[in-house]
Amino acid sequence: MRFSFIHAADLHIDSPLAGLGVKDKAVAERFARAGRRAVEALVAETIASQAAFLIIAGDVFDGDWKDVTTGLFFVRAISALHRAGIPVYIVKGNHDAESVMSRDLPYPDTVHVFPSNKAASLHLDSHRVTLHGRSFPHRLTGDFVQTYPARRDGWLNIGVLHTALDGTRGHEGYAPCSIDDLKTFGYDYWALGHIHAAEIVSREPWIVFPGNLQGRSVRETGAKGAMRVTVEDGRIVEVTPLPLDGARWDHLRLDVSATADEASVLSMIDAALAQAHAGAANRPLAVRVTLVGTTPLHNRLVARRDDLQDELRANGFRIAEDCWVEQLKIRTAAPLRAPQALSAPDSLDIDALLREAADDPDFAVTIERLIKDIEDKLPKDLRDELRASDVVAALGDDARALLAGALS
Amino acid sequence: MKIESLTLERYGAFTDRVLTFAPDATLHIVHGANESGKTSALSAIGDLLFGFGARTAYNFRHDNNALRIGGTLRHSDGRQLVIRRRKGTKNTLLDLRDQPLPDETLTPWLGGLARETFDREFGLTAESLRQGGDDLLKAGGRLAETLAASSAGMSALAQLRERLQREADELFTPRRAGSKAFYVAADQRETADRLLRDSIVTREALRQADEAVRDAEAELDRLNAAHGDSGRMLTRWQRTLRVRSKLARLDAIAAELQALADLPAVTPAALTEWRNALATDEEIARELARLDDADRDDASDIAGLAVNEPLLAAQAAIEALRERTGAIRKDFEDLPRRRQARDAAQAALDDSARRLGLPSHVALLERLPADPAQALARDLIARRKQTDTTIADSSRRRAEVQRELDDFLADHAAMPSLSDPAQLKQRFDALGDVAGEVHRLRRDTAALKIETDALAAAAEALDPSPGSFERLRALALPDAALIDRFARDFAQNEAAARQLTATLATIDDAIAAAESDLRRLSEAGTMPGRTDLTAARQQRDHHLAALRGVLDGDAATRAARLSDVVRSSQEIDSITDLLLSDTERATRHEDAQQRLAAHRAERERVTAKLAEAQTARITIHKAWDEAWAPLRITPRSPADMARWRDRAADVQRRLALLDRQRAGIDALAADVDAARNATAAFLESVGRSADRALPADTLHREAALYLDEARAAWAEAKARSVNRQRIERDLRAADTALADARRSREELLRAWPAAMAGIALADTASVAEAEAALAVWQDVAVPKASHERETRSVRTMEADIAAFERDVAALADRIAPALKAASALDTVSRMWTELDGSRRANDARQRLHQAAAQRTASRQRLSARHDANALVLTQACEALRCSDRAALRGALDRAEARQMLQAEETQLRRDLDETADGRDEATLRQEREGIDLDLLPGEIERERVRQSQLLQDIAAASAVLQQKKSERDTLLQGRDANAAASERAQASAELLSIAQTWLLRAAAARLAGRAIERHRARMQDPLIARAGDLFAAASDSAFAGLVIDYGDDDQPELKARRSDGERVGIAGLSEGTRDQLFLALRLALLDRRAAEPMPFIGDDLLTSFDEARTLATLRLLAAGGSQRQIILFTHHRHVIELARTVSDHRIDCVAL
Repeated sequence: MRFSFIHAADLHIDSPLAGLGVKDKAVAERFARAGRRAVEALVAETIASQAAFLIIAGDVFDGDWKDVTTGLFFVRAISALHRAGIPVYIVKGNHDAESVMSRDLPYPDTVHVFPSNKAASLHLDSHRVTLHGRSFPHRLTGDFVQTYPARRDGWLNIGVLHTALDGTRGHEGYAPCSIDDLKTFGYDYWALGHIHAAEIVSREPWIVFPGNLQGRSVRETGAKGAMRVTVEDGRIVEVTPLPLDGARWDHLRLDVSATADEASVLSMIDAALAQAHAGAANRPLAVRVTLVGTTPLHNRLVARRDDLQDELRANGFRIAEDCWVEQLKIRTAAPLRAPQALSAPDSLDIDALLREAADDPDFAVTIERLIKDIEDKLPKDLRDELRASDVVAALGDDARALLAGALS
Repeated sequence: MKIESLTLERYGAFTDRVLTFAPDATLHIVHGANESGKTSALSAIGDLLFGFGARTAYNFRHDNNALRIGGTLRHSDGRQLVIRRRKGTKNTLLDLRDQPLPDETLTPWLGGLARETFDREFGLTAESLRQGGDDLLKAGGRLAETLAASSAGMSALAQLRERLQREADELFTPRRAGSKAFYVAADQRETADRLLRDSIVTREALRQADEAVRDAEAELDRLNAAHGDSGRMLTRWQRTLRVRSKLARLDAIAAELQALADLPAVTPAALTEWRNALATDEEIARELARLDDADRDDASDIAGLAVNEPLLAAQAAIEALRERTGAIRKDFEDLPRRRQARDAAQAALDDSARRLGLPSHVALLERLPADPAQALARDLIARRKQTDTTIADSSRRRAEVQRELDDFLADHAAMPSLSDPAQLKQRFDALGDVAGEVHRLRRDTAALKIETDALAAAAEALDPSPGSFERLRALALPDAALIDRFARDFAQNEAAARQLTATLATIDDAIAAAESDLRRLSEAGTMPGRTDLTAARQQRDHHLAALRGVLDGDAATRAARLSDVVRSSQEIDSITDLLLSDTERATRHEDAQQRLAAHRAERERVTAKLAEAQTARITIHKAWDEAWAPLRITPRSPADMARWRDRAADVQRRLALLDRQRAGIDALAADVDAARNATAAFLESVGRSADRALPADTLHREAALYLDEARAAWAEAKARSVNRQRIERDLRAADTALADARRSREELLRAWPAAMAGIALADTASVAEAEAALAVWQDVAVPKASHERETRSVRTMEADIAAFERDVAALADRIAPALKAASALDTVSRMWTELDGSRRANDARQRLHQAAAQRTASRQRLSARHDANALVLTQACEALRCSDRAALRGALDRAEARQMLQAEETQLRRDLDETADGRDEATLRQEREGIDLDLLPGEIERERVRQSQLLQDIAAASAVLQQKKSERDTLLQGRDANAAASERAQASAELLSIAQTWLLRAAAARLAGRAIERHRARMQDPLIARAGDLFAAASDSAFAGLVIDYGDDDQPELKARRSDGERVGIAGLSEGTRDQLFLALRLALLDRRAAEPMPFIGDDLLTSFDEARTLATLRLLAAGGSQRQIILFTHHRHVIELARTVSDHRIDCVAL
């Protein structure tokens, strides 16, 4: 018997995308609706592919999101699967555990939410599949995987688990466990959630993160979606990523060391932008462009950053109305000056003067004072973000580069 | 470095112009009038030293490729260099033989300067001098800003600082201002925050919405119930009121029927029959009386009627004559008018006869020409006129075309012949889409770089690192199965080790527990065991043996040994006592000790096994490392390396793709190169010089331009040829048209005499005469026809009138001579009137006879009906016991009254049944009980008002319910919180972006300020002293120098010092003096440069100086010329004249 099922996780419905700076309301709305479009695409794909069932491995909702209509939207969306006779298996993730609004949602009968007080096994007789899972009872959970039941011999065993695994993938360490821990259970497939980057961690057995359904910031780039898992005669034979996202993020890091002038830099970015847009398959695309490399153009690029960013945004619009350059970051470096030039007794060397002034420890104090001035006026939640921003980190160097670039 | 000569070979308006600067002069003044090329010469110095820019304004006479400048330079160490410069992208520096010199040739000569710095620091124009003076004023004497303003570079920095600070202040200031972008964004973000809060639909809000809907439903239900009760009560009351009169009438009818109870029972049909018979009897009597009256009246009418029988007999003839009277009357009316028209037509004909020279209309009509003759004459006249016009037009047209041909031949006599560029076009097309290929090459190259970088990043991200790309490409990656096998080995080993470690931990826990037990048991006192007892016994035996050995010794030794024995015995006793007295504790203690020993033994065994597992792990690890040794990689865990292998394989795959992509690009580059050569060859083959260093698409565009020009020239030549052919064709056509027209005219003249004879004219008649005669003949036709028609009409009318009068006279004589009158028409009228009266009397007499016959028949029918009716009336009298007809009528009235009452009673009960809402009469009477019927209408009205109020309340409650449901539905649909959250994120990003932009600008402004301050600190003392001397000289000793004062804010401030010691602030200096101060500061700054001295070039610097200070400044510049070359451009002749008065310096005047 051959059938397939869909494995998704980390829907985070209605979690807003990071601020894009889009002024066009229609385009901003397309980005804002991307998350819901992705959920609808997941449901549509599940029905269209005649999947046997759908697994959602946690974090359907965002923890601090209190709008109950989000839950109702999800119920409405998922009810289409009920009507199509496709069961859904859900474990609650750490975000769902703390979500107030998602409690007591009126799911249809075919939606099965694993209990949180202990791990449980659910059986799908028609396909001889057993699913083992446990929902998060609260946000912090330590020993968790150990409570999962033993495999059921002769059936396809699937473990549904919301976990940070061994903690090496950068997310908070919920339900920590190792790959070997999972292997000891003898399950055929571990449907994991929590890590937002898709990854097939292991093939024997299959241990899979499908990634989140919709990228929400420039840290979550590339195609996002779910996994289609194909089963033949009780064995998993194929795991295929399904891009379902409603909008896409990309981060182009371009080395401009070899470019001769600003026009070449723009040409290079344009080519990369067009390539990125082609890869996004007509989805709204938000692109961050970061220029790196050592180049004599560094100062000029820093000084002209705003103008270049405007130009790139215009170029993006020429490609498509929703191809948006989120930000241009200049992270290039200027080539070191020749030592003799630095020591030349030329009192009019403005570059040297700027360098000396920037290296003066008092200038660091000045910068700190400026940061403090504006930090005091920012809302609390933005202060840390400002502090952590690379603009603040490179403020001294960028200020010097801006002056040198504007004078050149 | 000095410039000894500047050669403008091909530059701007110049061709082979050489400016020579005398080597021994300390100041060079280049003089030229306006438009003489001073600006070009100035720019040429920069272009010579640093090369042409990408664009130049000096290619308006000579092409870019032809631009050349040359110059001879002298280094301060005495070396000479002769160079030339061309415009281009590389190898632009040339020697005298046009051979390229290395680009770095000039580097040691330029003191490390760039073009911009040279222009900025070593060039000074009148405008920049004035700007500098203004900047000094703006700096207000503040030393840092003043010194910055005196240096072009620092001045730019100061201006930049101001701009950045201004931009920063527009974005944000710590003191809140609503107009600042930061605060605007902060407000927007706050609004978005609020909007988000308002948009969130919470569970509580939803619960409240549900509750509100339930409350509204309950209120509506309550009102509906009250409305129902009220409606039912109102219905009952209204019913009672409705049946009230009917019930009362039923009571009255019952009483009246009681009074008629003596009448016999009679069926309604019999009653109706009797009543009808009585009425019929009366009706027959009335009808018979009416018939008798009519007979009498008709007899009287017949006697009074009179009839004229002869006229009646001739009525057909009279009618025929009367019908003819209309036509006869019309003839009488028309006859005079017809006669007048006939006479007028005859007069017109006579007039036409006169115009043609004929005696009367009779002669005219005899010579009237036929239509063909007139048509022939008309045709010949028209053709003669047309032919004359054609001859005139053709002559004029021929003259014009001849003139056009003469002009064309004069204009294009010297045009060269050209060849068709079609072949050239084919050759150009064969070059292919060069621009597309170049564009593709650039795009693919950029894409290749991106992919290369991405691959480098991916390769760099591989941990452990496999080394360079090439190494990674060549790596033979291990089999995945091998990695899996090691993964299993590691896993098994780790599982075993983990299990052993866990066992060890368990044992440690057990040991700790045993030790804890021992400690706890020992806390109650020392707990000796069997071992202690054995040891104590052994000690005792040892002491006894020692005692035994000294029994023969001295007493003290014996006593000491005995004491040892006693102590040992006591120890044994003590242990024994403890063992006996606390057996349980002892047992436990013993058990704990045994357990401890067993655990420790087990621990040793497990520890050994763990060591074995660790050794095995080292072995596996070693094998694992060895498996990767060929790759020279130190592997991580198998799981990591499995991922590593996948990623490395992916990189290898992409590398292979990259190679293919690169090969494609190389092929494309080769194609582009070939296309460039082919394009260059194409250009050279058509006589154009092609720079093969230029990009292929540029060459291709140049070739395309050439081809366009050639095709345009060819098209123009073709157009010229076609135009000449057309003119010649037009000339031939004009000749032909003229000849044809003349031939036609001769033919017409031959046919002319015959045509004139046809319209009664002589052979010699002219065209005008013929046209006049034709006009008269055309006018004759109408009066001729009119004359003939009117003559016919008059004759016919006169005959008709005579015949009528004859017929009328004959009839009147025959039947009524008395009716004859003066005219026939009057006679007919009289006969007709008489005939009409006789006909009406005859008709009336016939109608009266018919009526009398009908009345006789009616009288017979009435008699028969009367007999039958009398029989019925007799039966009625008997039944009702009446003696006569009068009694019968009274009995019938009472019986009918009874019958009506019974019918009304039946009808009332039926009505009651219909209006009683299904209730019977008894129930209705019961409902009425207890109700005051007089007060009931008021009660009903009050209840209606109440019900109306209830309806209003229900409508309001229903609206409230709908509103609550709508609010709940809206809540369920959501308030677009997602969009609000998105807006909030946007607002946050905007606010953060402004903060970051402000930070960068504010920091840059602060940094610029600090740099300017540093500049001041470094330059202040020596610079001010040197500038002071120069300023004194430039101001012709009006000032003695410069000093630094400190203002109220302790900030250093620059002031000018007069000879008498007075200190003047910058604002106190005149405009010209500020210019001199700026010049002094600029020259002082240049003096501080330690690198190779570069020429200082001034352009019309002295325009704002008076004569004395101009001379003083010329001396100052000439004095400075010993340090560095100074070249001054001017168009003021007085500057030259003043320079010639300077004798203590060698000043070189160069005419441009």
